[in-house]
Amino acid sequence: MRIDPDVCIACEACVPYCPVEAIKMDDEKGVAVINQDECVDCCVCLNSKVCPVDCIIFEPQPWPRSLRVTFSNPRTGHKETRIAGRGTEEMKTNDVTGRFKRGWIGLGLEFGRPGIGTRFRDLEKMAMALAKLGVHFEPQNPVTFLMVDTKTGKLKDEVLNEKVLSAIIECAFPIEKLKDVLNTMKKVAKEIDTVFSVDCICKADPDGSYPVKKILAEAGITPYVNGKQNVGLGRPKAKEE
Amino acid sequence: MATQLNGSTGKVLRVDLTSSKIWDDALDEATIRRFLGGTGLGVKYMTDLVDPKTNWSDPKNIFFIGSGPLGGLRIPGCASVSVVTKGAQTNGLTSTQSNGNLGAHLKWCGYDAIVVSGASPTWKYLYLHDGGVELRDATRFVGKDTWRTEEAIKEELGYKERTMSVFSIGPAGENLVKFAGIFGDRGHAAAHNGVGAVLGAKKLKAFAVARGTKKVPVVNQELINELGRQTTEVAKTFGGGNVYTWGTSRVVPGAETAGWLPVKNYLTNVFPEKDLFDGARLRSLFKSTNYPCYACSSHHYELMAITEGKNAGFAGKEPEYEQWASMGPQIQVKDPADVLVIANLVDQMGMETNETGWVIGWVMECYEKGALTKKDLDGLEMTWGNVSAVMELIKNIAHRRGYGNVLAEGVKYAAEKLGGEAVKWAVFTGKGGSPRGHDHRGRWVEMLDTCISDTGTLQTQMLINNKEIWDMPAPFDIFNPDQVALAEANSTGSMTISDCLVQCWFCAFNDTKLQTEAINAATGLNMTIDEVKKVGRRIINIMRLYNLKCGLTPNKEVPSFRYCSTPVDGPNKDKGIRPHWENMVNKYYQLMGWDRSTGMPLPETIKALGIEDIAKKFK
Repeated sequence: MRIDPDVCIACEACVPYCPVEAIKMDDEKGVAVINQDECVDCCVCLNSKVCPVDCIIFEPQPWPRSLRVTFSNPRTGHKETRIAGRGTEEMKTNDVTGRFKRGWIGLGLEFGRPGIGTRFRDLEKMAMALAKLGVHFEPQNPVTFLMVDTKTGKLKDEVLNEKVLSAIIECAFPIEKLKDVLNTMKKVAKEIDTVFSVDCICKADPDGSYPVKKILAEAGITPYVNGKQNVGLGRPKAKEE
Repeated sequence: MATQLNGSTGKVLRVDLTSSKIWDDALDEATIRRFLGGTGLGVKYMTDLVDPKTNWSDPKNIFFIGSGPLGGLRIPGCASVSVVTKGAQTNGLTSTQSNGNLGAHLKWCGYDAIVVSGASPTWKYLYLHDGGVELRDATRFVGKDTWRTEEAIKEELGYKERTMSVFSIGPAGENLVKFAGIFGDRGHAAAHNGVGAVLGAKKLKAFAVARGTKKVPVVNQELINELGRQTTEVAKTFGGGNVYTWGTSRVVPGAETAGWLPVKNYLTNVFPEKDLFDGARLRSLFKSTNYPCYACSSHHYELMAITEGKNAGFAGKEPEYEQWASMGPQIQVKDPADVLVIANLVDQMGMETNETGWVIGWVMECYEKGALTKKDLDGLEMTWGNVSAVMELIKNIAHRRGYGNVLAEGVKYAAEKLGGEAVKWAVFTGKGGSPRGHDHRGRWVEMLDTCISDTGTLQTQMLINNKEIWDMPAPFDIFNPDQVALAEANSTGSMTISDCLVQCWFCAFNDTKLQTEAINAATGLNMTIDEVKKVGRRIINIMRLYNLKCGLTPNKEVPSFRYCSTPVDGPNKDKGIRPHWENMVNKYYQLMGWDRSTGMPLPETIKALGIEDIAKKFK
């Protein structure tokens, strides 16, 4: 995003709209200016139609900056996955997709939030640490598309400094690895410059209990439990076990 | 060589149209401390350069247009300009302001103001940009209305929307209509007292000032930013923030309820259609687009288009309260869509809306009472609210066609020329100035102010943020003559300060404390509030000294018969100002330190304001 300095009237209306506080008033120029390094091209300032003189401009950017808008603007789709926004298939529809079998954990790590954003170098740190534990990265996830090698979790060098509003690492692994995964996450959390939340997905047992509860408790994590059930909106793609 | 100043560019652009000579004047700190800028600086130029005996249309008259020490800074309302010249309506020193961005553009081009002298043999316009200044041929723009002129000049010079301010005169200014103004930035106006006619006499069609890139130096940028935010808070909250959110048209229904909406040329105070003119309704009825000035987040100014009905497809600006009032209830046009079209026509022809309303209202009353006939009016049936006749009459006035040539002199002249009872029907002041779009029989302070003001129209305002600075009486009975005189005298100068800073009233609401802090943060002059107050008073008194030499006498400081008549209905029925007038003016003169018989500021007043030098010059 940028602001046309010949047109901006410095009314400051756009300033509070930026989710990453990238819009600042420039005392020298007497207009609002967008910090290009911090801006995630989410287009919130533009789409909110807050500028009375229409001087906020978005021009499609070349690779790798093009990643910013695809991950940050929920109206933009990923070329590869054709899914909009930060770009993940909802992991919560597991009973339709059947991606995570009994005894497996699906993990979603949602990096960045409005107000802070995230850079891919932080995602890479986590992905590489998890890769060492032998997790399987979700092939239909847009972050996985940025990996040079899904065995190591290494991302393409040119994308590392790109900042986006939010991006999600998705992977799967047997439940036995959960403890190590949680420990690794906690360790990496101290080395990164953003926040992330953890989605821990598994099938409930027939008695209604769920197997990860104890492991999370041992790791000192209190989960917010979300149940999700296909109520006949479609035939499951995956065969029931 | 200009000295490095803060808050000011240190330069005034001088343009002599007779010789085509262009040069710079240097500004110094002492001048800024004494006059601030804007109106004050213009008044200084007038007293320095123009003999009071000079006629307004004489090439020796100057046309000052300028910003002030806050111009171009990120403080809301400070992109405006003030015009100072000898006005065509009163033939006295006058000052009138416009919002828009011209003031900011000027400062960013490296000038505080432009002073135009002389007269050009052929039509010209002034083009100022970062890289220089030139007088350009304007022959092909002659006859164009103010909106088309703005567009055509931007096109000729290759400027897109908002990268240039163009303020021009329309056909009315070209034809020396006595109440012609200058208009720019899509319908902003500096229009009182015939300043457009002055430019017409000089054959200067427009000022085209590009958005320059020069930063205005200030001593404390952080503080300026903070004061800008505080000013926004004042704008948002003063008077419930109505103007900030809805602009001035929100005022119409309340004005009727309080009895100060001008209805049918002061024949009544009842306007049953008032709610049709509520600003909130109008903005949903018509397509409205916010069009704010630099550094301002207010929704005071909008563009407005009609999407349905007989006027569908029309696009212009949202009329201000005074335009709705003067082209609506005053002349009994009751459909806001019609008023929207007429008000924009008046702007585009380049005429001041209030005087236009007093003229048309008077014509309609004359027509109804048989003093003017269809034949007198070139075939126009000037019945109350006749929209098509109004449109034709406006064009006739702007082009001085037929009876329009008489009306172009203003309602005072036209009424006195027609003579008889009709003189009693016209709304004007003894100086020939126009009241703004109110029925001042419900706002006595403003009637007093309009009559004694040196600008030809309103020169102060009771509604002041931080009003204790001005010792305003509270509680205040607006129909108590003593309190009216006291309120008027005590507030005199408050608005003038805004006009010297050239700050829109709707931003700081004449908050002298906030303005003093801003002056100091910008200039480093460390002025006290009292010093700044004194500047306002000083300018008022200098204008008076000057205007007394132009032929002003105290017996001209009176309202016309109709203007001060007693309301026959409405909330102020039977409240007559006339019996109190003499005492009110006496008291006001006394409080101001003026001699009642001559109108002259008394020696102690002159001394207190430190204007002995100017008083000596205009003795």
